[in-house]
Amino acid sequence: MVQLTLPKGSKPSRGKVPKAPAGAKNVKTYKVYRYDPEVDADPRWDTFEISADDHGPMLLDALIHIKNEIDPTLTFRRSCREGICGSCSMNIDGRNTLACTKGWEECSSSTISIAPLPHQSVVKDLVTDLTLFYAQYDSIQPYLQSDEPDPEKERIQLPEDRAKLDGLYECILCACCSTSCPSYWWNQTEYLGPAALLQSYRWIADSRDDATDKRLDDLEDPFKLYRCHTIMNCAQVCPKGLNPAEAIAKTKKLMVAPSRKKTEAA
Amino acid sequence: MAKITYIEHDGREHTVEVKNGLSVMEGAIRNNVPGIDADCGGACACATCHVYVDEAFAAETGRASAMEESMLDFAENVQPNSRLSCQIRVSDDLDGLIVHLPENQH
Repeated sequence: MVQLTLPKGSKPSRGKVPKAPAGAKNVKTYKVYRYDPEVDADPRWDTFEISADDHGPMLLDALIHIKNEIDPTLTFRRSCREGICGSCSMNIDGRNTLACTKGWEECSSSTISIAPLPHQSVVKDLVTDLTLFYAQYDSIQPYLQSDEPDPEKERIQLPEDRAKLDGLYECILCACCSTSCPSYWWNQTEYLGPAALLQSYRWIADSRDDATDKRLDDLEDPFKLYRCHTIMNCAQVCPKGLNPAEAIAKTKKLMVAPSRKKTEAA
Repeated sequence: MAKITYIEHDGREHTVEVKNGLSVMEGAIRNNVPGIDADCGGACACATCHVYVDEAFAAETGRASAMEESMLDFAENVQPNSRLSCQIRVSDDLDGLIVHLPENQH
């Protein structure tokens, strides 16, 4: 039988354990994944004990507190701190979410684990390399393609057509969904993943866009779209409450719709 | 421990020993038997470990649960003896089990 071993840099060891000062109240324990591929042979779990009285209500507040007060080398992305930029996506207590919208009081375990998004290469600590993720977003051509000449003002859309974009336009590209999807874990170089496919459907569903057939043709491939097996992790974890699997299912339905014209048919 | 034979769509046979307590899917994956994808890892959530259970073992392997039935709706070429192999637990009773693999997982 084949002996499988984990590649270098895959086995976290126990790291530093900074304790809370004596007498601190409301102490929470955070197990934080630390890794600098340029320096460290292996990653480690640092365990920080901090008083929740010293920072705000969200996990991001705790991380910022750790960075400011205990270890300035702790690296993570953050920007808006209100769930609209998608920067602070990470794996908290085993579930992908945004650190800025997840309260530490919501975490049930006494020790809260904080790790980078799974199945992505780590740039440093909680920062993963999302180059492929963005390339996949780029590949679905996320912009309006209209056959109409440019209007003088805005492109008019009926309220009911605009309503079809609800549940799609809100995506902030945090990558929580794609990196929680087993199909994406195993086939991320070929399968576009739930985030890119939700965005793809956002343009397919847009009444002002005329490139639907071309967009569907581009997804005509055994992997790009059809590697979705409706596992539904995407909808479970989406911090914006969206349902990428539903958008994928609607795309699949359009693929076989009688009205569909294949533009490459020749 | 049970000896399980996986027969690919093209007739190629793979007979392997699988420990009790593992699933029939895990028996295939751990022994590099091709034809079972098992994308979701055994959570009855993807229907990519579809197999056809040999009639002789229909009773021993039992019936699909309601959840498994609903997942099987996603698989292709489902037959009455279709099962998701992650939901079949290996025991001594399954020694000699034969499962046939579909042409492809969905």
